[in-house]
Amino acid sequence: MRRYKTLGAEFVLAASAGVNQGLFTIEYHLFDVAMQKEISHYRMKGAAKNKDPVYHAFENHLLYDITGSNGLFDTKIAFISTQTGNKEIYTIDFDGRNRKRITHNGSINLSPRWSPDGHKIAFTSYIRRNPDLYIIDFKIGKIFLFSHRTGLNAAPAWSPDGRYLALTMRTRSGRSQIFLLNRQGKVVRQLTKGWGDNLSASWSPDGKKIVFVSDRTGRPQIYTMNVDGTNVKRLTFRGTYNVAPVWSPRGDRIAYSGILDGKFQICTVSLDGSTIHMLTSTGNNYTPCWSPDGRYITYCQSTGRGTDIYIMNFDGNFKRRLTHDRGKNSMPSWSPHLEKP
Amino acid sequence: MSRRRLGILIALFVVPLFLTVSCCTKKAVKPTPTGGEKGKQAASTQQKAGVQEEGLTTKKYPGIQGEFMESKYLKDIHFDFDKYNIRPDAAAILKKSAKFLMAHPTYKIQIEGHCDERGSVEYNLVLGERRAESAKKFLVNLGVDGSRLSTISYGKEMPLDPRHTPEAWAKNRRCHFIILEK
Repeated sequence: MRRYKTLGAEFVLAASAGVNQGLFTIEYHLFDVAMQKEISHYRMKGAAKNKDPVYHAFENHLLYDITGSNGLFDTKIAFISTQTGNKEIYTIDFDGRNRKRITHNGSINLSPRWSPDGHKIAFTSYIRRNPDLYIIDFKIGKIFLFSHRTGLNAAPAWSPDGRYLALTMRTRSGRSQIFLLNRQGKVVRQLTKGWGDNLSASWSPDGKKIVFVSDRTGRPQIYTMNVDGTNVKRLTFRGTYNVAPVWSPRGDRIAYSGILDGKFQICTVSLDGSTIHMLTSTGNNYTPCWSPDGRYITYCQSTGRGTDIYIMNFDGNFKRRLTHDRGKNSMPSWSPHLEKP
Repeated sequence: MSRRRLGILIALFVVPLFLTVSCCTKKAVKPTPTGGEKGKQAASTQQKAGVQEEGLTTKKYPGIQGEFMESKYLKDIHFDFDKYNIRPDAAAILKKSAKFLMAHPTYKIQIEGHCDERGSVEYNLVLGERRAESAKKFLVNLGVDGSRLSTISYGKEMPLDPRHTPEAWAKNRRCHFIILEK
């Protein structure tokens, strides 16, 4: 154990894995080097035919043992892929495995967003020659038409308690505004008014504020407001094109996509707008979305090679590409922790 | 293949089917049922009130309900990056489109707003809607009945030219006009 200490190790992991009589087993012992003792001993079993759940449980437990935080191995990422030639919704595990197709309508599907309980995905689809909002309910295995007002029914954002959806819709004047809809799809309130278009809402984790995009100054910039539409404040002043804001689940920063030196990059900004961190530098990067613990960000990157889903740490380190097919993969949405199947 | 050639081909070879072939009898606003020899006539152009008429082509977008028609007399108009104002070149095209629409008062038109690939999906949906609304307002100001004109935004989801070049972007920032009903 002392030898590990001189190497600078904080933990030592001893693990074994094997298949026996159709069962796949992983067992590990985790030692804390500084305390010089075993802090965890765990064994997982599962059908050898499908090892992924066992791997995920292993990774989750290990992460929890080391960091005290719940892992992400029971989360998925929903996204849009052009693999079939159309734009369908797919999901993958957070490590890129276990790809599943969710929609089969052959249409243009956009903006998939998980409900906070993980049972539903809201998305926009052009099936009826109008960008209507649909909700997939995984519990009962059905898709519902939720909002079909003429014009946009776009950019759905679930409130943290799951009771409301903030939607971008067209008003009579032809401008787009953010509306609050209840579970029945009825408009409870129009949140934004006045000159310019307002769109792309995302809620603060306490459900009291909304961050959104407005072009009221002539260019798209990011603003915050209270959920009743009052107290509107401009957040971004750097650059001429800042869009797709998402509020961190930890509440302290907002990620967005903005043009810097002619390319779209993922950035985060503090709530007072004072500090901006640029997290990407290759290609054009769009539609960031936080992991439920706020430690990671998923986004899509377009380069000459194609468009793919990536994840990175909240500080921009450890970028990993999750999709490798020929289709264009975009608009990732990170699920909350999902119930075990 | 150009739309015109496609129209003629359809008229010549697919005539027995009831698809696509437009009407152009001399008084002609109402669609005549197509078929037989009439279809062939329809493919030839005729003059009326300075507007030439020709076969419309029927189309369908994958995964989107319903068919629609296109006419070569309803030309796309183009926009500058992140803008929805009607440029002078677009105004000239819209004036011709307005004439065509007034000569065919039963046509119900949908104006599609499209954008180039730069920027967020959602911001481009809004921008496409503004472009379509701009075109609609312009046509209404020229005397076209606004109740015949619907708008839809496809944002950056349906590029005409899939390349990632400034030329492709310029082509993709457009309004496209389709005929939903005759």
